[in-house]
Amino acid sequence: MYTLDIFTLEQNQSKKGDSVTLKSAAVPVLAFCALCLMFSCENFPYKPTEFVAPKVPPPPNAFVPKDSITKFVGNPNATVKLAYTLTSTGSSQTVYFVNFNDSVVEPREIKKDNTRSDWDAWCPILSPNGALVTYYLRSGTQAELYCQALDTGATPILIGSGSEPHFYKDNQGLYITYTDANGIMLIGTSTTLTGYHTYKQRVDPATGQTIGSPALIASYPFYCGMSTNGTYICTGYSSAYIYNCSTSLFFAINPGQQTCNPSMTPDSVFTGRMMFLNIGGHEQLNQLPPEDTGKVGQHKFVFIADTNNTYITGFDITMLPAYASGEWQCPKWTNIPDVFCVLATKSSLTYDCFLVSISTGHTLLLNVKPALLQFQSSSKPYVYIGGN
Amino acid sequence: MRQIITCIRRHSAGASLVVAALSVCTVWELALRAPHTSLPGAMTTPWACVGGCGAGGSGGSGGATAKWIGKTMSTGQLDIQGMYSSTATKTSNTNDLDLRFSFKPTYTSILALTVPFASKTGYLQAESNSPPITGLINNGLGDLRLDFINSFGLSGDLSYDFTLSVPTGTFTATYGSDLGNQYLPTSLQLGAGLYNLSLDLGKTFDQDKGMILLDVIGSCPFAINVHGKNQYYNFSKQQLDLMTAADKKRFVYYFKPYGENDLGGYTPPSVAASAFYGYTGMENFVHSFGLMFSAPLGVAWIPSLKSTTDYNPTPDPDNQVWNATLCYSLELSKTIFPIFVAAYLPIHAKTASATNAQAGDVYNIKPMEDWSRGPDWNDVFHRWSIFAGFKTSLF
Repeated sequence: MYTLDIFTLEQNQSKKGDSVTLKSAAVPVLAFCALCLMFSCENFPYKPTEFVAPKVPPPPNAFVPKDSITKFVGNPNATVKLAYTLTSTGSSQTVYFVNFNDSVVEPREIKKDNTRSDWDAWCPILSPNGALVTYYLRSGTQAELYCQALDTGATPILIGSGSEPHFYKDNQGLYITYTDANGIMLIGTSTTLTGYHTYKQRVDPATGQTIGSPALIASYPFYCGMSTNGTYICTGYSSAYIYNCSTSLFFAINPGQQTCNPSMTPDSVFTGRMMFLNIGGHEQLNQLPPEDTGKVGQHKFVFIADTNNTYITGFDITMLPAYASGEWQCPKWTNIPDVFCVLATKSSLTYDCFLVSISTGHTLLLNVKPALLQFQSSSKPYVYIGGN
Repeated sequence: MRQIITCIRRHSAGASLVVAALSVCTVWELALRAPHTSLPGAMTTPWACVGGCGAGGSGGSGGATAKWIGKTMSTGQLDIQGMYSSTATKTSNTNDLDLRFSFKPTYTSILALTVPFASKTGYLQAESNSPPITGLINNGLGDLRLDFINSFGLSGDLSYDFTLSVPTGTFTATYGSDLGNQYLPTSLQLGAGLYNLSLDLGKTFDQDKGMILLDVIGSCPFAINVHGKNQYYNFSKQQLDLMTAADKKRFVYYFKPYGENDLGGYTPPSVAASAFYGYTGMENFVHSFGLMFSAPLGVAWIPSLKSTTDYNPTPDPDNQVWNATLCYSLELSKTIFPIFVAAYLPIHAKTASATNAQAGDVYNIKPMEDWSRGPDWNDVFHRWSIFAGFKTSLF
């Protein structure tokens, strides 16, 4: 056993001591040689490079054929487009769109601003003519609004800082409504409607370029778009409201209950209606059907209510028997009053996208080959149905 | 206005690389290098000095660790050394408590385990046009360090010290809530997510009433993944098949002989050297003065702050191509309970972020490896460390 005293060693300079010293010295010498060898390697030192996550080519034929959709909406000449977001591993969340009128129906990616490639894209909405898309990019607490032609090569146009953009059209032109809140605040703490605002920014309907300066709609953050007559706008999450922009009156919806994914009706007659996803508990809507008055589970219902907080209709997840034990996610009114799109999940891991007819309750699965394409809980699909 | 100035500016690995290589060269302990002082009892109270670089890797340990220089010698079966340090920079404050347990398997060697605890506070300004996020806090265990010191040479005046740090400290701490969750900057993480092996070779020269200690240190981070695949990015087989072999290695590996962690943060190997003079002319006191110098053999990369699925590491705009540290310390050389205090003042090369040289192409490493910018005098007194420590024997 090696227990030599180095001071004894120093004084005696014994042969044994020399041997031990040499052994001890051999360790760092060998280590030094190993380091030299490592340093001399061709690839030393390692130099990382920019990484671009590979994206799997879009799956063709993952969606329902156009004929099925036109039959569903009752218009053989309908133009149908879908916009949604998806995150693939290694990449930020990106907007994709599908044009069901294309010869090959496949998802296509829209371009982000070059300096914002690592920001997540959220909540795409298509314009009333289906030619433009607006969405917002978010990174941390920052959020920026963009608009561009619905095309893979279109250049994003910065609208401003804010989130939750929607299109609104009147006789004067096309607008994007948005809130100056960043989206995170809305999701987490929208119990107070102060400190943020809602604006509308006029844009060129052909290019999406801004025209003039944004105009204040409300001194509160609303993020569900305006009714077609420009009177109402709504919000949700901790507290849901419909707000009359002309009179500044609030209409509490489902008071005391949290709501998800609020959405304003596109109806030109019944303009004071909103759609939302329930969070859970005892819903507080007037004239709620007896079977829905009990405590209901989270995301089990999509409700429509009006400014009187009156239940108009509701959609129980059990209407999709295969998803009965799962839940709804991201309901959003399309641009026609009778149809909304929504995600449904069996496991909360993957989601399928449906069109639902409000009047008949009929449903249509859009991603007919889930093995090829699945949605995510944050996909927020929006469907445009034109040609009516 | 919208131009990204410096992602994670002043909060990245570069700032703490220094620590990793040199000032952080953890070294406490005992003096195995034989002293030749004329002090009474010198033969039994050798110099405390050099161990190895406990480089916790980039950003890992964060605060500096001091080199205990003194003449107090351990007398017990199991020694414990506690060292508190406080490190201030323009954007963060780090308080560390390192507990080092050691014993001597042979007369000329020491085997030790260092358990570091850290409390870090700071703020982050990810981009120039965004408001700073203040009040970021991260507390907990850092990267454990295991080191083996042995002296050799005819008079025991030479030593080597192998130090292995293991990634026990978190390197994936986040802040924010819900969908706004983001990783803390590298400098506020408690660990590096890497192993690190370093070798310190030391030589002691006797002087009249003093001693000169020289050390050279090489540090080589590496990555081990017992799962065989990256635990934070679950790429599909189709995606992996589309990657180059080099890119695939980032996500499918058991061992990488370089310091790239699972978030894409990269700590290059480094070399360092130090020279200290200790004055022992006063009974029961040892003053020491020193200079340490380190340089990474490459540019550090920092991971994306986003805690979602985005894998987007970029070169660290705060990468320091060299770092020097002026050191002063004082040991109260009591046999039973010696006490040590020190103050370190680093001086480093001007970084790319100091002149916004990386703007325009955040993936271009050229601005980060530029030696021509000279020292960053504006940062000199904004960055410093103070230390207070003790030693005692448990048995």
